Amino acid sequence: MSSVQLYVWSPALDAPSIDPKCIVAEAYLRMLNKPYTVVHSNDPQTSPTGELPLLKDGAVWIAGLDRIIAHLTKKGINGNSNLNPEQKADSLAYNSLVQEKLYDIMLFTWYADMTNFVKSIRPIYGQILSFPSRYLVPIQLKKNAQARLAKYNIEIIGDDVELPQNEVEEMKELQRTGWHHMYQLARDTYGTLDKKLGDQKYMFGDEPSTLDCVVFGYLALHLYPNLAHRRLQHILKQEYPRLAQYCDRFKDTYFAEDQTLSSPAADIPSTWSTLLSNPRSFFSVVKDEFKPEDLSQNKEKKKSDEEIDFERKRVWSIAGGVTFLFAYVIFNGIVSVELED
Amino acid sequence: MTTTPSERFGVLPKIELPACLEFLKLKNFPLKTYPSVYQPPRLTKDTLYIFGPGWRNTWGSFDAECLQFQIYLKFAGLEFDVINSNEPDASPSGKLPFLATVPGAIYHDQQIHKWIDDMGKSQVLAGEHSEDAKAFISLANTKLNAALIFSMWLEPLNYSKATSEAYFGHVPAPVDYILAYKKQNKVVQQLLADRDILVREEIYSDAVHALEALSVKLGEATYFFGSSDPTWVDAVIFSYIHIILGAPQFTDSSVSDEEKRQASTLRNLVLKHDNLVRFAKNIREKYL
Repeated sequence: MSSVQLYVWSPALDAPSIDPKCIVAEAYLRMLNKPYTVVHSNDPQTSPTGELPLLKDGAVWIAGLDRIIAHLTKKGINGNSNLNPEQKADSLAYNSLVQEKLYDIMLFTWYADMTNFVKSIRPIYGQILSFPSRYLVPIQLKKNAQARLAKYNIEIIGDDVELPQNEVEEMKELQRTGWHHMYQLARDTYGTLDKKLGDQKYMFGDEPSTLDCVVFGYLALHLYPNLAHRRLQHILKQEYPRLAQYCDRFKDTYFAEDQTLSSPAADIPSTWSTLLSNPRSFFSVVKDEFKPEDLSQNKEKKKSDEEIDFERKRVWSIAGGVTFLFAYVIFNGIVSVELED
Repeated sequence: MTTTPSERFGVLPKIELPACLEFLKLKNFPLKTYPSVYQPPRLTKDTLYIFGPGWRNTWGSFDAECLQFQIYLKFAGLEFDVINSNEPDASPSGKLPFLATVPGAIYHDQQIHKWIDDMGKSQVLAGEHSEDAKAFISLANTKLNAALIFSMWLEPLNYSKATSEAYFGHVPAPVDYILAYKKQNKVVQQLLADRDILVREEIYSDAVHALEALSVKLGEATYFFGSSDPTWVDAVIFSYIHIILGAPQFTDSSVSDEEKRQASTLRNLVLKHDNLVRFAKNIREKYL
């Protein structure tokens, strides 16, 4: 097996990574005993789709958690291999429950609760991001959180407001953010997962599967971060101790040692490189089929007729523009050309 | 004058008159209040306001959320009227459907469930499968809904001929084109909130996995989880399948075959699962 590199967000807030999908990707690789090295690249722009985690398997780059899992499944490494079809259906359903609801709850605690955002989240992102991302990326993340939380009718206000100073103002602030709906939703979801887990070791019995990686990935960021308002941690530890123990068990089993770090590869694609290689598809809203970029074979690409036509038109229009520029300049005498006889 | 608190816009700020202006006796005004000329008609039955008549002019709506509540109220055996209002801004939450009860209260989303529970008619899935039901509802609402809105709003043939007419046909041109275009952009942003880039094959393959999971879970039973009466899970999944299967098919030759194939992709994916089609047909014949 050629080297496998995983590009993720770095660990923060006492969890293996600050992004839940990165934790899931790492948990998946560790659970399936696939050797890999980790790069703490905190720059989602290095990924061709703009999202981490990013996997480099030999010469192939795969971006996004779902695509990574699909790619590994195609190569024969499957986390769901010992499940029957009905359990696979359950796994898919619980997967989507966790990725939607637990993620929304986490985004609520991080971005809608101003005290948490200003005191815990923003400084962490300031530390792990480099210049100039640390001023740009948190705004993008907040906008994304706002888009996802819009369906719960939650308003996220700007972060230059004064934090509540005392109990009364805190209560008012919490009322405004609609906290009790979200924490009720949190309790419902924890209850669902708790019932599924029951007294088993993992979600589907004694062997871990993909669903365990996903649940751990998202719950880790509810349980471990010590935020300014750590209500989710409190709810998990006091009211759903089985889930908290399950997370601890998973962490001790699979995240006991750190993985070897490596430096980013030289031929890393980025959103910039995808723009250059496929300009028209970059700007359209709905993309054509997204294949993992296989950079080992990009030397001898056959150009289609459309591309040749496009390039010919491009050359002519640039030549025409430059000629017109020179003609204008010379004609108007801005630069005079003296011909010596 | 009463200030009615509005859910979307809040309460207007109260402005107090300064004490030095008390002598103007403004509190005496208005001197006489006339009775209102027009009162909206009293409702005789609880009324659900939804998006217009469904595909082929049927009673069931063409919008997934509206149809879910329509069919669930039918499951509960409640008597209600349906108004094809097509106007989401009429609702206190800004979205259809909403329920206007005879006493005058308006309910939407979760409040409708609470109202049905209070009436004692809630169709609850008994036993050990209630949590699984939540997971499968979440699966349908993420993966299947994404594929449905993609198919309705982002397939050019469906968008131009079926969906924009269904949602905005009652609005005069050219405003309906503008509204449909804006809604299309909103759909794109909504899809991008859950995924990093929009790839047609990926959205449909997610739908394939979701339909497979639902088909496996239904098996040979009439209703999901072996229940003898239909419940909220059945309402949700039925609404998606009914709308996908009922979508208009285009047969005129002026449109390219490729476009026709793309527009009917989702429908063909659902047709592959006989038990889901049978499930939808059964509910449609019994309740619609």
